[in-house]
Amino acid sequence: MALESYIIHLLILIGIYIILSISLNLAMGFTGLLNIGHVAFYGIGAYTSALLVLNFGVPFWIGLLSGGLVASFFGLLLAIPSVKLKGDYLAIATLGFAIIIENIFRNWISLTRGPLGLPGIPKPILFGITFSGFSYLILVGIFVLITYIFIKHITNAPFGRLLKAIREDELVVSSLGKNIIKYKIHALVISAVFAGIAGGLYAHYITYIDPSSFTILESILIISMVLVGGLASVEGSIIGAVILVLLPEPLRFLPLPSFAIGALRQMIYAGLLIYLLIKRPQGILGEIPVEKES
Amino acid sequence: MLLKVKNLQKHFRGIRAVHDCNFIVDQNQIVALIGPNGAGKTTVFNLVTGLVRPDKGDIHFKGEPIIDLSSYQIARLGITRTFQLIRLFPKLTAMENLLLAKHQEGEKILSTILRTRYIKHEEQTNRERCLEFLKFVGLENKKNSHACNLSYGQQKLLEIARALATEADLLLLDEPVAGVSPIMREKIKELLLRLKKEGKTILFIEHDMKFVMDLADKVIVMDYGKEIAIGTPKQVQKNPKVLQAYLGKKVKL
Amino acid sequence: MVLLQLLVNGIIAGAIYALMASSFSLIYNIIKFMDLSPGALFVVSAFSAYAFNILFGLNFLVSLILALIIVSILAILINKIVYKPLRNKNASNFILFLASFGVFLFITALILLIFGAEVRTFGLPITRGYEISGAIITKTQILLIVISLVLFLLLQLFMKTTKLGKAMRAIADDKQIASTLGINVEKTIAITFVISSLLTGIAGILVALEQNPEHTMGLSVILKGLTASIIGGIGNVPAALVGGFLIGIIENIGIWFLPSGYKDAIAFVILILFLLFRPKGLFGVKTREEASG
Repeated sequence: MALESYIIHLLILIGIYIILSISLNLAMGFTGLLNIGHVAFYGIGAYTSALLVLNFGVPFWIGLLSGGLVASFFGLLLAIPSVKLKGDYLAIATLGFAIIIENIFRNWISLTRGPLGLPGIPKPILFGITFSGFSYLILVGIFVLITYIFIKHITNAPFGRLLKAIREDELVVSSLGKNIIKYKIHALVISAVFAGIAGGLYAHYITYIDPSSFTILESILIISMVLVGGLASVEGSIIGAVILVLLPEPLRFLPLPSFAIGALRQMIYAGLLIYLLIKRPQGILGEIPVEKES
Repeated sequence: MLLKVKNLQKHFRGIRAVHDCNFIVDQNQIVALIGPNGAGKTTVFNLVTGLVRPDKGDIHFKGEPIIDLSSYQIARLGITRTFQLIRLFPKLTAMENLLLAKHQEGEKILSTILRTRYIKHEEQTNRERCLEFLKFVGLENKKNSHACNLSYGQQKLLEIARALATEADLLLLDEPVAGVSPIMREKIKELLLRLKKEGKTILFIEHDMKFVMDLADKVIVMDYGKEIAIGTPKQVQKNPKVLQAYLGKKVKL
Repeated sequence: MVLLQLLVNGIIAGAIYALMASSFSLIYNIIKFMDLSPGALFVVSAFSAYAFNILFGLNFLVSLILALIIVSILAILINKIVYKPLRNKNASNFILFLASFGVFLFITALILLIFGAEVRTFGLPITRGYEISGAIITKTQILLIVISLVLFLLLQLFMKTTKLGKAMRAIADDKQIASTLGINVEKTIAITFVISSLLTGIAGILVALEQNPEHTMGLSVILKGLTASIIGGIGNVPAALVGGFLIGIIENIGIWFLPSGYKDAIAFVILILFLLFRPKGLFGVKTREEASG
């Protein structure tokens, strides 16, 4: 019994991270928008959904989709620096963005209860069924499928080719008559919507959220998933999510205090990231990330 | 007159890249823009295509002023360019490089969801059209090769093909035969003449004087950011100001 | 009055940020990428000094020197194992930045693993501070500011007068030309990392004396050092001083108006504003064309 619920738990987490990494890949892998602040969309989606359902009794679906919607506004916001800045300057700006959002989660106490977090987030109830455990896994699975199909579809269309071209040489794309600002906004907003929905899914599963779930470390983790799988590879992002969620799980069974397990987990993730960047930046299925012009 | 440049000026941190430049390019002409290195020729291209905003002056295309437009808007009006150092999309195939020159419904996000059948049809039509452009430059066999795997000469041809694929009226070519073999040079010359026959207008920068003299209807000579002589190749060759500009500077004659 | 106290606090924090900013700018200057590892070295230094002094009972000065040695060795190793291979592969700035993040996360986790999560303290006696018009400043804090300024001046002197300093500036200007002039580029880079790590290390120990060493201190401090660098003008080491103190003062006075938890947010809003509207910083001379369009 315990084994079964453990496996379901892992699969749900994997599902949520698949949505997060596919959505980040759209912005970063396909379009070349270096976004270290992706976690902010995740957190905004989670808090929006949780707050709407807790404070206004809004049904789960509306909360979830509102989370995506609100996250999309912030995606729009992030489009402003993405147009003006490049490379590591953009990365720093997105980093700053994520930290500001996390600060707001932690300090706007009247709204978010700050570090105390939001407990008691209700599980979704539909047709009289409370979604939890296996049924929640089905729910997450459906959203993973939707995400996969949608992103795969738009990237296979000429839209995807255009995003990749923007990543390679946006000046030329512009001189071919395309408004690259518009396309960057599209990529970011879609990326944000899915991350926001992942946030809602997370909130209603764990039923408790606090600012510590939405730190920069999470962003680095999601970036690692995208890199492991390979930039601009949707299937790669799925593989990346699976590997990175499962990799440190064996630690759980070691007789160590929790801070030690947390520390080892971080060391594994960090070590893998460094190794990946040095030895195999293209990941498993992808293209080589941005190279400096010689 | 297709393109008119008047009193154009652009300074970069005290360096006068372009200063009081004036010239006209008429429809269906092949015009050469020449001058010693640093004369401001590529800057003129950048100004016309909207990559850079002028400090002073006017640029009119098809009678309308364009200096307040952004570069993608200018491109949409019918101006396209190639670059001094080839700028293709290296990881995309030759065909994909050309397809990007087309404006497709399939690039619009809503259309990808709502008009799947139409965009498939449109993609097919555009592939056929782009194949024609590849045939025009002789690269139809390379349509599925990645641009980074083409030879230098082939890349030059591909860039020209892409410029054609935009179906622009005015093509700005920055050193179209720099570093190519003599055979390729002839081929490109023939291509440009064919384009003129089909009604296109070409303004090109070159250092290869023989190429310029063989091809151009009109030559604009620049030095220190300003035009110093405009005329037919023969007129310009004899102009003492032109000879003076080139004396002592490294150039291919 | 409170405002004066906030100003004083701002200057104290500014001194630390100035050190971190100098450290950051030194590295940026010479290899042109943003390195977050000083944040980790900051923490390593604090904990090493603590370990030698409190756990092993060694003399404070000895502990300090040992801690700085550890930090220097770490900096050399990081450069050799992580950054050099990436630079040789011509990796982009973003990749190097990410890698430095990885290094930061790895080392801070290691510290957590070794030392655990309990609060540590140097256990210095709580001295009575000096009072200036209602603002209190302790001896340690004054020491902190003074040391920071002295180190800064020493660094400037070093850069201007010594052969090594000139080599560093030459490489910053043009790496290829510097190597044709006979400068050993790789060795100079390694030494730059060492100097940078010493600045960070001292900053870490100074802060640890004042507050308790925690494994989480590093990120905030290096990011603010980064912000200060950009505000001053990235790669401009003297301007880092101005940037550091500006950030320190603004964020401390900022919490006069906002809840104190927003300190970090204030610094990053300033960062984003500068990135968008003045990426050169206040005194930057070399612009990076890649930064804006």
